[in-house]
Amino acid sequence: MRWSQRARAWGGTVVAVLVSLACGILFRSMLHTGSPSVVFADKSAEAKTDPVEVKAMTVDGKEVGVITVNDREVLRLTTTLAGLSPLERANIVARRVNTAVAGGIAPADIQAKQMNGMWSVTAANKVLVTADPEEARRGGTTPAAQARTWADSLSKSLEKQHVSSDQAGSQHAATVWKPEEPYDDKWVPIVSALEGLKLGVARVNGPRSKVKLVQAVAQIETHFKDFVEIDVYLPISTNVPGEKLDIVKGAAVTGLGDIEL
Amino acid sequence: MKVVRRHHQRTALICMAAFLTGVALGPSPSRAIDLGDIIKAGGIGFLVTQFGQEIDGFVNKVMGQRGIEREGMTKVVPVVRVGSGTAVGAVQVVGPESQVKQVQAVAELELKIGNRVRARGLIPVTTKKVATSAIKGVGGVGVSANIKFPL
Repeated sequence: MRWSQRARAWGGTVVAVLVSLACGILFRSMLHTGSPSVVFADKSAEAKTDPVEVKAMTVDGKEVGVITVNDREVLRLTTTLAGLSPLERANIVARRVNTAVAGGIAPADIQAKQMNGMWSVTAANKVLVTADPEEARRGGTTPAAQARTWADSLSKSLEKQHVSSDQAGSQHAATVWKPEEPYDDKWVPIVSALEGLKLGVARVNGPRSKVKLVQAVAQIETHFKDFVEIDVYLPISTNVPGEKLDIVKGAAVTGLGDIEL
Repeated sequence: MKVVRRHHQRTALICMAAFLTGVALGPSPSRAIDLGDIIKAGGIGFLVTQFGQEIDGFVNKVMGQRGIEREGMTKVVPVVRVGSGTAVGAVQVVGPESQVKQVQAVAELELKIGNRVRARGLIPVTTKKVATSAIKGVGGVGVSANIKFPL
Protein backbone atom coordinates (compact mmCIF):
# COMPACT_ATOMS: atom_id res chain seq x y z
CA MET A 1 0.00 0.00 0.00
CA ARG A 2 1.41 3.35 -1.00
CA TRP A 3 1.56 6.26 1.43
CA SER A 4 -1.27 8.20 -0.28
CA GLN A 5 -3.52 5.10 -0.28
CA ARG A 6 -2.80 4.42 3.39
CA ALA A 7 -3.55 8.05 4.32
CA ARG A 8 -6.85 7.91 2.41
CA ALA A 9 -7.81 4.62 4.13
CA TRP A 10 -7.08 6.02 7.61
CA GLY A 11 -8.99 9.22 6.76
CA GLY A 12 -12.01 7.09 5.90
CA THR A 13 -11.60 5.20 9.16
CA VAL A 14 -11.57 8.43 11.17
CA VAL A 15 -14.73 9.64 9.42
CA ALA A 16 -16.43 6.27 10.05
CA VAL A 17 -15.44 6.40 13.74
CA LEU A 18 -16.79 9.93 14.13
CA VAL A 19 -20.06 8.98 12.42
CA SER A 20 -20.39 5.92 14.70
CA LEU A 21 -19.76 8.05 17.77
CA ALA A 22 -22.41 10.57 16.65
CA CYS A 23 -24.87 7.76 15.95
CA GLY A 24 -24.24 6.37 19.43
CA ILE A 25 -24.90 9.73 21.04
CA LEU A 26 -28.03 10.20 18.94
CA PHE A 27 -29.27 6.71 19.78
CA ARG A 28 -28.75 7.39 23.50
CA SER A 29 -30.67 10.67 23.38
CA MET A 30 -33.58 8.98 21.56
CA LEU A 31 -34.09 6.29 24.19
CA HIS A 32 -37.28 6.63 26.24
CA THR A 33 -38.52 9.79 24.59
CA GLY A 34 -42.11 8.99 25.58
CA SER A 35 -44.02 10.79 28.28
CA PRO A 36 -42.13 11.13 31.56
CA SER A 37 -43.35 8.73 34.17
CA VAL A 38 -45.36 10.73 36.63
CA VAL A 39 -46.08 9.62 40.15
CA PHE A 40 -49.31 10.93 41.61
CA ALA A 41 -48.17 11.37 45.18
CA ASP A 42 -51.65 11.94 46.49
CA LYS A 43 -53.34 9.14 44.59
CA SER A 44 -53.81 6.83 47.60
CA ALA A 45 -55.13 9.68 49.70
CA GLU A 46 -57.48 10.74 46.91
CA ALA A 47 -58.78 7.22 46.52
CA LYS A 48 -59.69 7.10 50.19
CA THR A 49 -61.68 10.31 49.93
CA ASP A 50 -63.56 9.54 46.70
CA PRO A 51 -67.12 10.74 47.39
CA VAL A 52 -68.81 8.34 44.98
CA GLU A 53 -68.78 4.56 45.46
CA VAL A 54 -70.40 1.56 43.79
CA LYS A 55 -72.30 -1.28 45.38
CA ALA A 56 -73.21 -4.49 43.57
CA MET A 57 -76.72 -5.78 44.23
CA THR A 58 -78.91 -8.54 42.90
CA VAL A 59 -82.57 -7.72 42.33
CA ASP A 60 -84.90 -10.47 41.07
CA GLY A 61 -81.84 -12.53 40.20
CA LYS A 62 -80.39 -9.76 38.06
CA GLU A 63 -77.21 -7.77 38.65
CA VAL A 64 -77.69 -4.10 39.55
CA GLY A 65 -75.02 -1.42 39.94
CA VAL A 66 -75.84 1.07 42.69
CA ILE A 67 -74.00 4.38 42.90
CA THR A 68 -73.77 5.93 46.36
CA VAL A 69 -72.55 9.15 47.93
CA ASN A 70 -71.77 8.80 51.65
CA ASP A 71 -73.51 5.42 51.63
CA ARG A 72 -76.69 7.01 50.28
CA GLU A 73 -78.03 5.69 46.97
CA VAL A 74 -78.16 8.35 44.27
CA LEU A 75 -78.86 6.21 41.21
CA ARG A 76 -78.97 2.59 40.12
CA LEU A 77 -78.24 1.00 36.76
CA THR A 78 -80.10 -2.14 35.78
CA THR A 79 -79.53 -2.44 32.03
CA THR A 80 -76.66 -3.54 29.84
CA LEU A 81 -75.49 -0.86 27.44
CA ALA A 82 -72.82 -1.03 24.75
CA GLY A 83 -71.85 -4.50 25.97
CA LEU A 84 -71.25 -3.29 29.53
CA SER A 85 -73.05 -4.89 32.45
CA PRO A 86 -74.90 -2.66 34.97
CA LEU A 87 -72.04 -3.07 37.46
CA GLU A 88 -69.39 -2.24 34.88
CA ARG A 89 -71.37 0.82 33.85
CA ALA A 90 -71.74 1.88 37.50
CA ASN A 91 -67.99 1.60 38.05
CA ILE A 92 -67.34 3.76 34.98
CA VAL A 93 -69.89 6.35 36.15
CA ALA A 94 -68.39 6.47 39.66
CA ARG A 95 -64.90 6.95 38.22
CA ARG A 96 -66.14 9.76 35.95
CA VAL A 97 -67.89 11.56 38.82
CA ASN A 98 -64.91 11.21 41.16
CA THR A 99 -62.58 12.50 38.46
CA ALA A 100 -64.90 15.45 37.80
CA VAL A 101 -65.13 16.28 41.53
CA ALA A 102 -61.34 16.01 41.93
CA GLY A 103 -60.99 18.28 38.89
CA GLY A 104 -62.92 20.98 40.70
CA ILE A 105 -66.49 20.79 39.35
CA ALA A 106 -69.15 22.10 41.70
CA PRO A 107 -72.33 20.10 42.46
CA ALA A 108 -74.29 22.83 40.68
CA ASP A 109 -72.41 22.02 37.46
CA ILE A 110 -74.11 18.62 37.29
CA GLN A 111 -76.98 18.86 34.82
CA ALA A 112 -79.28 16.81 32.63
CA LYS A 113 -78.56 17.44 28.96
CA GLN A 114 -79.17 15.90 25.60
CA MET A 115 -75.77 14.95 24.18
CA ASN A 116 -75.33 13.15 20.84
CA GLY A 117 -79.07 12.51 20.75
CA MET A 118 -79.15 10.78 24.16
CA TRP A 119 -80.31 12.23 27.46
CA SER A 120 -77.39 12.20 29.90
CA VAL A 121 -76.20 13.54 33.23
CA THR A 122 -73.28 15.85 32.46
CA ALA A 123 -70.69 17.96 34.24
CA ALA A 124 -68.76 20.64 32.36
CA ASN A 125 -70.19 19.23 29.09
CA LYS A 126 -68.81 15.74 29.76
CA VAL A 127 -71.16 12.77 30.02
CA LEU A 128 -71.25 11.15 33.44
CA VAL A 129 -74.09 8.67 32.78
CA THR A 130 -76.50 8.08 29.92
CA ALA A 131 -80.21 7.66 30.63
CA ASP A 132 -80.89 4.98 28.03
CA PRO A 133 -84.51 4.39 26.90
CA GLU A 134 -84.62 0.81 28.27
CA GLU A 135 -83.52 1.99 31.73
CA ALA A 136 -86.17 4.74 31.64
CA ARG A 137 -88.84 2.31 30.41
CA ARG A 138 -88.14 -0.07 33.29
CA GLY A 139 -88.46 2.84 35.72
CA GLY A 140 -91.74 3.88 34.10
CA THR A 141 -90.39 7.24 32.95
CA THR A 142 -88.75 8.97 29.97
CA PRO A 143 -85.00 9.30 29.36
CA ALA A 144 -85.25 13.08 29.86
CA ALA A 145 -87.04 12.76 33.21
CA GLN A 146 -84.67 9.97 34.26
CA ALA A 147 -81.61 12.13 33.48
CA ARG A 148 -83.08 15.07 35.43
CA THR A 149 -83.85 12.89 38.47
CA TRP A 150 -80.35 11.42 38.48
CA ALA A 151 -78.67 14.83 37.99
CA ASP A 152 -80.70 16.32 40.84
CA SER A 153 -80.01 13.41 43.17
CA LEU A 154 -76.27 13.38 42.41
CA SER A 155 -75.92 17.17 42.69
CA LYS A 156 -77.77 17.37 46.03
CA SER A 157 -75.82 14.49 47.56
CA LEU A 158 -72.48 15.97 46.51
CA GLU A 159 -73.51 19.39 47.84
CA LYS A 160 -74.30 17.83 51.26
CA GLN A 161 -70.99 16.07 51.23
CA HIS A 162 -69.12 19.35 50.47
CA VAL A 163 -70.93 21.25 53.22
CA SER A 164 -70.24 18.57 55.82
CA SER A 165 -66.54 18.39 54.93
CA ASP A 166 -66.28 22.20 54.98
CA GLN A 167 -67.97 22.37 58.36
CA ALA A 168 -65.87 19.56 59.80
CA GLY A 169 -62.71 21.33 58.70
CA SER A 170 -63.83 24.72 59.97
CA GLN A 171 -64.94 23.38 63.33
CA HIS A 172 -61.63 21.62 63.78
CA ALA A 173 -59.74 24.84 63.00
CA ALA A 174 -61.95 26.89 65.29
CA THR A 175 -61.52 24.65 68.31
CA VAL A 176 -57.75 24.24 68.23
CA TRP A 177 -56.29 27.71 67.92
CA LYS A 178 -56.66 30.69 70.24
CA PRO A 179 -54.50 33.72 69.51
CA GLU A 180 -52.73 35.41 72.41
CA GLU A 181 -53.88 38.81 71.12
CA PRO A 182 -57.04 39.79 69.21
CA TYR A 183 -56.58 39.85 65.45
CA ASP A 184 -57.24 42.84 63.24
CA ASP A 185 -56.98 43.68 59.56
CA LYS A 186 -56.61 46.69 57.27
CA TRP A 187 -56.03 47.63 53.63
CA VAL A 188 -52.62 49.09 52.70
CA PRO A 189 -50.89 49.82 49.37
CA ILE A 190 -48.70 47.20 47.70
CA VAL A 191 -45.38 48.80 46.73
CA SER A 192 -42.71 47.30 44.48
CA ALA A 193 -39.66 46.69 46.67
CA LEU A 194 -37.27 47.59 43.84
CA GLU A 195 -38.93 50.57 42.17
CA GLY A 196 -41.23 51.92 44.89
CA LEU A 197 -44.17 51.88 42.46
CA LYS A 198 -47.66 51.32 43.82
CA LEU A 199 -48.97 48.05 42.40
CA GLY A 200 -52.34 47.69 44.10
CA VAL A 201 -53.73 47.21 47.58
CA ALA A 202 -53.49 44.38 50.08
CA ARG A 203 -55.52 43.40 53.11
CA VAL A 204 -53.18 42.52 55.96
CA ASN A 205 -54.24 40.49 58.96
CA GLY A 206 -52.50 39.69 62.24
CA PRO A 207 -52.30 40.57 65.93
CA ARG A 208 -53.76 44.05 66.50
CA SER A 209 -50.45 45.56 67.69
CA LYS A 210 -48.64 44.25 64.59
CA VAL A 211 -51.32 45.33 62.10
CA LYS A 212 -51.16 48.86 63.56
CA LEU A 213 -47.51 49.04 62.55
CA VAL A 214 -48.08 47.97 58.94
CA GLN A 215 -47.99 50.88 56.47
CA ALA A 216 -47.57 49.00 53.19
CA VAL A 217 -46.83 45.62 51.67
CA ALA A 218 -43.54 45.37 49.80
CA GLN A 219 -43.68 43.13 46.75
CA ILE A 220 -40.60 41.24 45.59
CA GLU A 221 -40.77 39.43 42.25
CA THR A 222 -38.84 36.27 41.50
CA HIS A 223 -39.02 33.33 39.09
CA PHE A 224 -38.94 29.60 39.73
CA LYS A 225 -37.48 27.45 36.91
CA ASP A 226 -38.10 30.35 34.47
CA PHE A 227 -41.78 29.49 33.97
CA VAL A 228 -43.35 30.27 37.34
CA GLU A 229 -43.67 33.91 38.39
CA ILE A 230 -43.73 34.50 42.14
CA ASP A 231 -44.69 37.72 43.95
CA VAL A 232 -43.59 37.67 47.57
CA TYR A 233 -45.54 39.95 49.95
CA LEU A 234 -43.85 41.46 52.98
CA PRO A 235 -45.85 43.71 55.34
CA ILE A 236 -43.58 46.65 56.23
CA SER A 237 -43.75 49.52 58.71
CA THR A 238 -42.89 52.25 56.19
CA ASN A 239 -44.77 53.70 53.22
CA VAL A 240 -41.84 53.30 50.85
CA PRO A 241 -39.47 50.34 51.01
CA GLY A 242 -35.94 51.43 51.89
CA GLU A 243 -32.72 49.56 51.24
CA LYS A 244 -33.51 47.44 54.25
CA LEU A 245 -37.12 46.35 54.58
CA ASP A 246 -38.71 47.01 57.98
CA ILE A 247 -40.76 43.83 58.02
CA VAL A 248 -43.61 43.46 60.48
CA LYS A 249 -43.41 39.83 61.53
CA GLY A 250 -46.68 38.14 62.45
CA ALA A 251 -48.80 40.07 59.92
CA ALA A 252 -49.70 38.50 56.57
CA VAL A 253 -51.81 39.21 53.49
CA THR A 254 -55.38 37.92 53.29
CA GLY A 255 -56.60 39.89 50.28
CA LEU A 256 -55.30 41.47 47.09
CA GLY A 257 -56.91 44.33 45.18
CA ASP A 258 -56.52 46.08 41.87
CA ILE A 259 -57.45 49.73 41.51
CA GLU A 260 -59.50 50.20 38.35
CA LEU A 261 -58.24 53.26 36.50
CA MET B 1 -5.54 -7.93 -0.23
CA LYS B 2 -5.03 -9.38 3.24
CA VAL B 3 -3.88 -5.99 4.48
CA VAL B 4 -7.02 -4.31 3.16
CA ARG B 5 -9.26 -6.93 4.79
CA ARG B 6 -7.47 -6.58 8.11
CA HIS B 7 -7.82 -2.80 7.84
CA HIS B 8 -11.59 -3.13 7.26
CA GLN B 9 -11.96 -5.46 10.23
CA ARG B 10 -10.06 -3.06 12.45
CA THR B 11 -12.19 -0.14 11.20
CA ALA B 12 -15.40 -2.07 11.94
CA LEU B 13 -14.22 -2.83 15.47
CA ILE B 14 -13.20 0.77 16.11
CA CYS B 15 -16.57 1.99 14.74
CA MET B 16 -18.43 -0.42 17.03
CA ALA B 17 -16.40 0.83 19.99
CA ALA B 18 -17.07 4.44 18.99
CA PHE B 19 -20.82 3.74 18.73
CA LEU B 20 -20.89 2.15 22.19
CA THR B 21 -18.85 5.05 23.58
CA GLY B 22 -21.41 7.43 22.10
CA VAL B 23 -24.26 5.49 23.73
CA ALA B 24 -22.45 5.58 27.07
CA LEU B 25 -21.40 9.23 26.98
CA GLY B 26 -24.42 10.73 25.21
CA PRO B 27 -26.84 13.02 27.01
CA SER B 28 -29.54 11.42 29.17
CA PRO B 29 -32.78 10.70 27.37
CA SER B 30 -34.93 13.78 27.09
CA ARG B 31 -37.38 14.09 29.97
CA ALA B 32 -38.49 17.63 29.33
CA ILE B 33 -41.87 18.24 30.92
CA ASP B 34 -44.37 20.23 28.92
CA LEU B 35 -46.13 22.40 31.49
CA GLY B 36 -49.18 22.77 29.30
CA ASP B 37 -49.59 18.99 29.17
CA ILE B 38 -49.22 18.73 32.95
CA ILE B 39 -51.87 21.40 33.50
CA LYS B 40 -54.20 19.66 31.03
CA ALA B 41 -53.61 16.29 32.68
CA GLY B 42 -53.85 17.17 36.32
CA GLY B 43 -54.60 20.86 36.75
CA ILE B 44 -53.09 23.28 39.21
CA GLY B 45 -53.72 20.92 42.11
CA PHE B 46 -51.36 18.46 40.44
CA LEU B 47 -48.73 21.16 39.87
CA VAL B 48 -48.90 22.12 43.53
CA THR B 49 -48.52 18.47 44.55
CA GLN B 50 -45.53 18.06 42.26
CA PHE B 51 -43.74 21.38 42.74
CA GLY B 52 -45.28 22.89 45.91
CA GLN B 53 -42.58 21.79 48.33
CA GLU B 54 -39.83 22.77 45.92
CA ILE B 55 -41.36 26.22 45.30
CA ASP B 56 -41.83 26.74 49.05
CA GLY B 57 -38.16 25.93 49.66
CA PHE B 58 -37.14 28.14 46.75
CA VAL B 59 -39.08 31.18 48.02
CA ASN B 60 -37.70 30.74 51.53
CA LYS B 61 -34.16 30.41 50.14
CA VAL B 62 -34.53 33.58 48.04
CA MET B 63 -35.83 35.47 51.09
CA GLY B 64 -33.00 34.07 53.21
CA GLN B 65 -30.44 35.24 50.67
CA ARG B 66 -31.85 38.77 51.05
CA GLY B 67 -31.61 38.52 54.82
CA ILE B 68 -35.40 38.41 55.20
CA GLU B 69 -36.71 36.25 57.99
CA ARG B 70 -40.36 35.38 58.45
CA GLU B 71 -42.07 34.12 61.53
CA GLY B 72 -43.70 30.67 61.63
CA MET B 73 -44.09 27.96 59.02
CA THR B 74 -44.73 28.29 55.29
CA LYS B 75 -46.42 25.99 52.78
CA VAL B 76 -47.61 26.16 49.16
CA VAL B 77 -51.31 25.35 48.56
CA PRO B 78 -53.75 25.77 45.65
CA VAL B 79 -56.13 28.73 45.41
CA VAL B 80 -59.69 27.48 44.96
CA ARG B 81 -62.48 29.73 43.71
CA VAL B 82 -65.48 29.73 46.04
CA GLY B 83 -68.62 28.51 44.33
CA SER B 84 -67.08 26.69 41.41
CA GLY B 85 -64.45 24.92 43.51
CA THR B 86 -61.98 25.29 40.64
CA ALA B 87 -58.26 25.63 41.41
CA VAL B 88 -57.15 28.91 39.84
CA GLY B 89 -53.63 29.38 41.15
CA ALA B 90 -51.33 28.75 44.07
CA VAL B 91 -49.99 30.71 47.02
CA GLN B 92 -47.49 30.32 49.80
CA VAL B 93 -49.12 30.67 53.20
CA VAL B 94 -47.40 31.66 56.44
CA GLY B 95 -48.41 31.44 60.09
CA PRO B 96 -48.05 29.42 63.29
CA GLU B 97 -46.98 25.82 62.54
CA SER B 98 -50.04 24.22 64.14
CA GLN B 99 -52.30 26.36 61.94
CA VAL B 100 -50.38 26.13 58.67
CA LYS B 101 -50.37 22.32 58.93
CA GLN B 102 -54.18 22.35 58.72
CA VAL B 103 -54.36 24.50 55.61
CA GLN B 104 -55.21 22.53 52.45
CA ALA B 105 -56.12 25.39 50.14
CA VAL B 106 -56.85 29.10 50.01
CA ALA B 107 -60.42 30.02 49.12
CA GLU B 108 -60.71 32.99 46.78
CA LEU B 109 -63.67 35.35 47.06
CA GLU B 110 -64.37 38.19 44.66
CA LEU B 111 -64.81 41.48 46.55
CA LYS B 112 -65.75 44.94 45.34
CA ILE B 113 -64.59 47.84 47.49
CA GLY B 114 -66.23 51.09 46.47
CA ASN B 115 -66.38 51.73 42.73
CA ARG B 116 -62.73 51.49 41.88
CA VAL B 117 -61.22 48.59 43.77
CA ARG B 118 -61.76 45.03 42.67
CA ALA B 119 -60.28 42.62 45.18
CA ARG B 120 -59.67 38.94 45.87
CA GLY B 121 -60.27 37.82 49.43
CA LEU B 122 -57.87 34.98 50.24
CA ILE B 123 -58.99 32.71 53.07
CA PRO B 124 -56.86 29.74 54.14
CA VAL B 125 -59.17 26.73 54.60
CA THR B 126 -58.84 23.11 55.70
CA THR B 127 -60.38 21.54 52.59
CA LYS B 128 -59.73 21.64 48.87
CA LYS B 129 -63.46 21.35 48.14
CA VAL B 130 -64.76 24.87 48.62
CA ALA B 131 -68.25 24.78 47.19
CA THR B 132 -70.24 27.01 49.50
CA SER B 133 -69.94 30.65 50.44
CA ALA B 134 -70.26 29.77 54.16
CA ILE B 135 -66.58 29.17 54.76
CA LYS B 136 -64.49 29.73 57.86
CA GLY B 137 -60.79 30.33 57.57
CA VAL B 138 -57.85 28.96 59.52
CA GLY B 139 -56.95 31.69 62.01
CA GLY B 140 -53.49 33.21 62.12
CA VAL B 141 -52.54 32.19 58.59
CA GLY B 142 -52.00 34.61 55.73
CA VAL B 143 -50.60 34.64 52.21
CA SER B 144 -46.90 35.36 51.88
CA ALA B 145 -46.47 34.83 48.13
CA ASN B 146 -48.60 34.61 45.01
CA ILE B 147 -47.47 31.89 42.60
CA LYS B 148 -48.49 32.38 38.97
CA PHE B 149 -48.33 29.36 36.68
CA PRO B 150 -48.39 30.23 32.98
CA LEU B 151 -51.86 29.14 31.81
